[in-house]
Amino acid sequence: MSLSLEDLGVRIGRHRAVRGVSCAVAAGECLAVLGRNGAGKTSLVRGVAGLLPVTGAIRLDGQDLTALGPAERSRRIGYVAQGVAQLSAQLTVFDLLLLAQNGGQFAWAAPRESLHRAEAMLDLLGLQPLARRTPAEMSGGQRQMVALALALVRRPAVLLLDEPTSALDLANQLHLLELVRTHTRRAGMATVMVLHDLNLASRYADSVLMLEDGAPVHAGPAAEVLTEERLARVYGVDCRILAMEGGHRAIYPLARLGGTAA
Amino acid sequence: MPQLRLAGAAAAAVMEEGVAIRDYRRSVTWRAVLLAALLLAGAAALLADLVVGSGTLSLREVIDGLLSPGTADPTVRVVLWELRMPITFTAALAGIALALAGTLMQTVLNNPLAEPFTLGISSAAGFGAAMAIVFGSSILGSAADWLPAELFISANAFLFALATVILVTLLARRTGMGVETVTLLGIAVHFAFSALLAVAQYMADVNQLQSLVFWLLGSLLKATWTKVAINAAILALVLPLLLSRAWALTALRGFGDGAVVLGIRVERLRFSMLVAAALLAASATATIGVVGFVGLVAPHMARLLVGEDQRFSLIVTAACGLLVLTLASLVSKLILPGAVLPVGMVTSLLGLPVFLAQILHGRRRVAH
Amino acid sequence: MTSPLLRRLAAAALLPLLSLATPAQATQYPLTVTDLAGRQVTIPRRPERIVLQDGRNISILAMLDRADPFGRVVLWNNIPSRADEGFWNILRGAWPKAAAIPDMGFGDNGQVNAEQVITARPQMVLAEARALTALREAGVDQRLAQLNIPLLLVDSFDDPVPNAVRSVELLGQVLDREAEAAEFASFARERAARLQAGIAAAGPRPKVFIETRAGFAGPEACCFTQGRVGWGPMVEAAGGHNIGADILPGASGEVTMETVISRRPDIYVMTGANWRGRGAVTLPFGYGADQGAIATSMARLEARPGFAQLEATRQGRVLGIWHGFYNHTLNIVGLEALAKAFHPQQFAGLDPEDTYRTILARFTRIPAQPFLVSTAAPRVGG
Repeated sequence: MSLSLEDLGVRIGRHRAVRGVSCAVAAGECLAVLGRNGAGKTSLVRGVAGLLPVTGAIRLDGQDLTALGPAERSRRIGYVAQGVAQLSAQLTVFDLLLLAQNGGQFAWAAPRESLHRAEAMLDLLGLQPLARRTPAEMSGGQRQMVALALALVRRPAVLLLDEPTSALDLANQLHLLELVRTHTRRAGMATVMVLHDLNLASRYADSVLMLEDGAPVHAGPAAEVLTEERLARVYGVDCRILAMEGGHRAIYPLARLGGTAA
Repeated sequence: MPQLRLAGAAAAAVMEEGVAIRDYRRSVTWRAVLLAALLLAGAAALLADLVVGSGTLSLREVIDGLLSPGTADPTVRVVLWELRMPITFTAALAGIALALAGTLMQTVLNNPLAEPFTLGISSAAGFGAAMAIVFGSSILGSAADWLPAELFISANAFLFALATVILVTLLARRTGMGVETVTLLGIAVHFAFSALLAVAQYMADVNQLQSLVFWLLGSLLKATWTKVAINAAILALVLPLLLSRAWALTALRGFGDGAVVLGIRVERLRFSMLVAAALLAASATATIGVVGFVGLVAPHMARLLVGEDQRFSLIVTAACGLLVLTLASLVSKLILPGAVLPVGMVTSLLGLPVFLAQILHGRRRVAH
Repeated sequence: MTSPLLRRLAAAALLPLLSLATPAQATQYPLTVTDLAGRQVTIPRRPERIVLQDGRNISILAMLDRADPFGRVVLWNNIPSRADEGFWNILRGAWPKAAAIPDMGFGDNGQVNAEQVITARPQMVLAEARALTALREAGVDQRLAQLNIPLLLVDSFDDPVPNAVRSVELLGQVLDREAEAAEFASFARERAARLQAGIAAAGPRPKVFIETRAGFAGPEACCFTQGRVGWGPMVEAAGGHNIGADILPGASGEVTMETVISRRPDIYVMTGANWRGRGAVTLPFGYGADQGAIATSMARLEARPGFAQLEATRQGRVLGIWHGFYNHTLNIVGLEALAKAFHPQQFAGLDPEDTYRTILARFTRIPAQPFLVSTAAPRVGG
């Protein structure tokens, strides 16, 4: 399913945190949202998720999500929040997977299908040994995987991730983003992820959207958008971009540029 | 919906069940067994309460009276069916109501120490009763004249309690039903009504004070079949509603505000669950007076037994509430044969060590 | 200030003289008495300014200062105005200035307004013995002692039967009204003696359950009783056996109907008064009694679950009585009403209403008005 944002604005109270964002994410593609702290990245993603009020349209294969009720909308969207502290200490991973699927229902029993999907998800992400454990008994990396599993088990059309790697070590960062990319392609989802790490963004995202003070300043394929001068302008940091084997590019920050408050 | 192709050797026959599902089914079975055991224990406690009563009937007489009331001695029949049963059933129903109210509040307010009194329900009900007893007036004004005398005090207590919670939740709704807001408003209400209650106690003469004291300490002795019917009706109305939202409640417990992501209208759910809790707590308090700890302890017992999944936890909580209050009723009769201790006194005495244990034990496990 | 020790020695020297004095002789001050809480109290001079902690003690003053019972009262807790309006209206009608006496506003739990008490400059504070604990806790007794204001305790609750009369005698002695006190005391004692004789001659004591404040807490509540205070000793003194004392550990409490049924009381007594209270089923005995209302209320209370199973109900021996007698100077009236119900053959000739009228007429100047002491409850059909 392809996602397209049309002149999207997000309000927090009276403050317009994001305005005028128009971009498209094709099915099976990942969009990375970059920018400085306070640029509105998280607000954008939360707005698409339905957690904040928005103006403009969010179209999924043409259908405007903002016109749907919360239950309908949430069925199409998977959201992995920043940090995983919300996860209940007492429910096991399997319980949580069932909950993620059935939470909004007016029912009592767990449909057999949701049991199977939960199990499948455990297999998929290699989380079987954690099935009967609770989030309190896991490492941060495992908890983040569980958070991803909870979003994916609902088979969303749109996957939204807000800094999914900030608490992870090097290996887990790669692992998680590999999973995200693989699933995005396989399931034909439209994935939007907020990332701080420019290298990860350049490596795993098909396109990049850069925000500055709530407005989009650059959008397009990663290689095009992430240039030294653009990074200097938006981040105020002098960087070098190095080409490496296998077509990878490495972005190395050298120094903060004077005259800009960080 | 795009198909998710399974990795690994899993066949196209999705019906094959792996370890995780087997484990899950086993845990469900285990929880069902626990629930059945609890219900049995509850039934046993009810029976024991009926059998013991005030100790004036032999076991044989009780059995005869229960099984063949038509041919039993009329005194035995009256004692069993008119005197003991309303008391026992009231204890059971009130226990269930208070326990459910407690778990709903703990879920909604994200606070394991919440209980029906956190929102000032007990002091509001107490003041409603005081207003009726001491001032002879009702929140309904002259509309209350048609109320039968026996329901006058209870009705006032009930309405006060209900009105309080609705007021608090309406106020909190303006600021988005944040849990801190609701809790703080509840505390404010509690203090306000406690103060008013103190005034009423001060102005009460010795007779009224006597009535008020038994109300404030909790008493099962005013149980009548009418009240049993009313409480049962309220429970029959509310319980299915709760069970149908069991998933959403679990989500609320698991994710708090983040449950919005699952499409749950968190604000609406919090509001409706608080009203349900108010209904339950108010009806119980209006019947037996102010009885604490059941609403606090029963949800914790349930959590220890069956975990946080509200599909089980709700019913187990109800069963625990039934057990606790029925046992308290039993104890209140056994300590002083013939005379009856106020049941609220007993629950407080029994509940306190449990409460302390929960605090001290809970400290060792960090939630996040 | 003379040392208390010296004063006690002086009193001790005088005591033998006092004991020789006949009741008709005037009281000599300073006077040391033992009050009804067992305390030694010294009265330096005849008290003309008195504070009443329990306004119901005005009944005692009515017998001693017959022309003007309120003459000495400078401050009180006007409990009659709140608990016994009928009586208060009569008093106020006969002595209008009573309404002007400052009212501290408390009930009978022993509270007084210490500041008001002291600034009233009383020469004595009269209180009920049951209030002593509260008075001590508030430090009132200490402050009075420091100011040399005697605190005299009377009693009509802890041990109502002998103490009601002794209270009158004690106050009579203290106020130099011994003659008046003696008139009432001899009457009351003579009536009490008649009761004792009759009880001794009567058969075994009937088992009695006395439900105090019946119906006050609502028509489904049951059954509150008193064990060893108030109505408890009254029942015993009237020749009955109070079941409540067997069951209750403390002074008073609630007993289940089931227990009462199992104890098979021969007689069931309900006490009531003209209380205001929505949600209550009242038995408005006393002044301005409405027989019809009483009968209706009693029938309602007799319809409570389990009541029909009582032995007393089956025998038709259920009665109602005015509640106030449990701590009243004229409790001899209550005793007669109870005795008449407990031993009907023995005491067929008793007429409690007449006794009440007689006492008021002979020993006070309180105007007569109809006062209903007690009636039998309507018989439960079937």
